[in-house]
Amino acid sequence: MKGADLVMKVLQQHGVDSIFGYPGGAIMPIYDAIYQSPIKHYLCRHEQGGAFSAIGYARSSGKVGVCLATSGPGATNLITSLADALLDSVPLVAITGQVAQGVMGTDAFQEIDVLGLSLPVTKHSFLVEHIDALEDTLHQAFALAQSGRPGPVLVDIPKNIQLADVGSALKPVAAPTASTVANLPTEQLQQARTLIAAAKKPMAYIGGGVHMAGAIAELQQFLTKSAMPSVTTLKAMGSVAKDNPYYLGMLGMHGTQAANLAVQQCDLLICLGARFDDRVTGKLDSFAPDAKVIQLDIDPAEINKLRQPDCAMLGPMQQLLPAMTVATQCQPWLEHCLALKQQHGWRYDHPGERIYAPLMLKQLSDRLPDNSVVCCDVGQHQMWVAQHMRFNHPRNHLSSGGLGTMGFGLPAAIGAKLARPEDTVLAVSGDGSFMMNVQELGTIKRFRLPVKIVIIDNQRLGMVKQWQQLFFNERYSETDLSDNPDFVALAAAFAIPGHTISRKDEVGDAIEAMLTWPGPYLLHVRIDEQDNVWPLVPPGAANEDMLTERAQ
Amino acid sequence: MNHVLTIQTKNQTVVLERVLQVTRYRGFQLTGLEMKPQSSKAGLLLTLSIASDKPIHLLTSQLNKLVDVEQLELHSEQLASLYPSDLKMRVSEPLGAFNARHTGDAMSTTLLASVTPQ
Repeated sequence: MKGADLVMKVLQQHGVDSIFGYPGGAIMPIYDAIYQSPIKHYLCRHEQGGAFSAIGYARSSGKVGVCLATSGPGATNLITSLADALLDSVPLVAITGQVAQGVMGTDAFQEIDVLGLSLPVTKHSFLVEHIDALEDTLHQAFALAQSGRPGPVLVDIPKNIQLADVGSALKPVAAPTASTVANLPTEQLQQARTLIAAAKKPMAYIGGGVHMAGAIAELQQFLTKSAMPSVTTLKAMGSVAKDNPYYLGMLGMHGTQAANLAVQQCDLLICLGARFDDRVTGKLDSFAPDAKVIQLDIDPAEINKLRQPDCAMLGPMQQLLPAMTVATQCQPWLEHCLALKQQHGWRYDHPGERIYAPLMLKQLSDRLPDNSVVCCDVGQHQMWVAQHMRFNHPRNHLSSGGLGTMGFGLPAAIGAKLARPEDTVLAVSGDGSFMMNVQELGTIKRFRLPVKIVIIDNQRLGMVKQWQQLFFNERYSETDLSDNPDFVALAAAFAIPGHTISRKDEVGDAIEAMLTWPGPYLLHVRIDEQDNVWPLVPPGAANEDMLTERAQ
Repeated sequence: MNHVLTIQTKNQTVVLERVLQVTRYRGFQLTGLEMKPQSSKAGLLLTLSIASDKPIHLLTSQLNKLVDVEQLELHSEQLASLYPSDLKMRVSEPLGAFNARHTGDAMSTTLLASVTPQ
C-alpha cells in the first residue's frame, strides 16, 4: 500500500463519507487512490468553494468536514476558507499535496510554503516529513479538529510520501475522549447559582459554543427552570426553543432593539460559549455596563479576553448548565422584557408594490419545512435572514460569522445538501456575494443537487452602500452593480431553472414554485436599492444608540 | 511592562515561527529571544523577553493553546512579588485545575495578576 492509499483508509476509519476537492500535480497519487475508494469525492470548481462545501457539510451535520487541494495555487485558494473555519470554530481537515521533498525549497513548479501560510489560519497544521509519521499525523488532525474548541487542521503531504510504500496494517482509531469531567467546579457553580438567584435582571447571552458542545437540550432546560430572558449571537440563532416567550432575538450591531436594550439594562449577564465580539458588544466599555458576568467556555483564552467575568468556568456545557440551574426571582424583569419585545416588534407593513426583503424572508421562513437548512452569504441579506427567519437549531442556519466571507453561501449549501440529503437546503445570497463563488453552480449541475438559490438583488454591494450613505456622505464608491449579469440566464447555462420576481404579489407563488420543483432552482428577487438594514448600531456607539428606519 | 516567558516546546521545526506569529499578531513586542535544544527531552526551550502595555495573560493564554507548546512559565518581577503562587501555566492543565484556580477571589487574583496593578 502507498501513502496515498493510507490517507483514504484513515479517512474511512474516521467515518468520512464525502470529501471536497480539486486535483492537481502534487496530489495526483491521492486522487489515484480516490479512484477506487468508497469515499465519495465531490469535485468543486475552485478550492475555496470546495472548502466552503466541507464547512457547510460540517456545520450542518456536526461531523468533521474534509477538503483536498494540490500544492501552490490549490493550497493558497484554501486559505480564506481555513480562516473562515478558524473564526467560526468549524472542525475541518484540509489535506494538501506538496511537491516532493527532494525539490522542496527550490521554488519548484507549484511550490509554496503552505505550512508557513497555514499558521495564522488554522488551529494546527502539519507537514508530513516521513512516511512513518503519516498515519499518526492524520489521526491527530481529526482529534485536534474536534477537541476542545473545534477548528481547521491542515496536513501538507509531499508527493514522494504519498507514493512511498507503507504497511497495510492500520492502527485502530483511538476512542474519542469523553467530554465529561469527574469533578465539577463546585465553588464556582455555587457562586454562579448565588449570582443567578440574587439577580433582579439576569440575561443569558448565548453563542455558538453551546450547540457545538451538544448542549442545546441542557440550555433550553436551563432557560426554563432558571427562568430568564435570552439573546443569541449570529452563530447561535436557533439555540432557544421557538416557544420560549422570553427569547429576544439576536443582539449586536443589527440585533433587535429588545435584545440590545435588555442586555444594556441587565444586572447579570450569563455568557455561554460566546466571545464578546465587537459586532455584538458595540462600544465595549458601554456593553451591559451594570452587569456582573458569568462566563462559561471551553477555550481558556476567551476567559477575560475582552471582559473580565465575576465568575468563570471552563468545561463541558452539558454538565455545567444543569449544575448551574437555580430558581430566579425576576418576574418584573421578565414582564419588562416581554413589553420591550412587543414594543419593538418587527413591522412588515411596507408600502407599495415592490418586494420588501424582510417580509419576503419571513414568508419564506413560514413556508419552509422544519429542519430546512439556510446558508447565507454576507451583507444586508445575511442580516435580514438573521432578523426575519426563525430556526429550530443552529445547524439549520449557516452564516459566515467571524470572518464575514462573501461567497460562503452557495458552496456551503452544496455541503449541507450532501450531509443532509433529506432536508430542504437553501442558499440565500445577494447579487454581490453570489458572484464570488458562482463557479460552484458547476458542482450543482454535475451532481444534480436540488439546492434552492434565492438571490436578493438590489444591484448594489448593499451593506457597503448603506455605510457610504450613513457614514461617508453618500459617496457611493464602487458599490453600483447595476451591470449584473442576467442571473436566471446564468443559472440556465448550468441547467438550473429560475424565475425573476419584483412585486410583492408574486412572492407567494414564486416560493411555492421553487420549493415544489424537484431539482435545483434559482429565484431572483429584485428589491429597491434604497432598502437598508435596521436597526443599526453605528460604529463606536453603545448598543442602546441604535439607528432605526423611522428615525431616518 | 516587561515580561520574560520561558516556553518548553516539542521539537518541531515550525514551532518558533508559531510562537513569533502569535506574539506579533496579539500585539506584543519582542525585545529578546533565546532558543536552546533540550537534548534530554528532544524539545526546545525558548526564552522570550516581551514588552507591552497590554495584560500579559492575553499573550500567555494564546501561546498556551499552541499544540507544540508543552509548558509555559511567566516571570515578571512586579507580579512575582504580588502573586508568587500563580506563575506557572501548563498547557495540559486539566479543566478541574483551571476551575480550581479560578475560584472566587482566587480567580480575580489569577485574572488580575496579569493586569497592570491598579
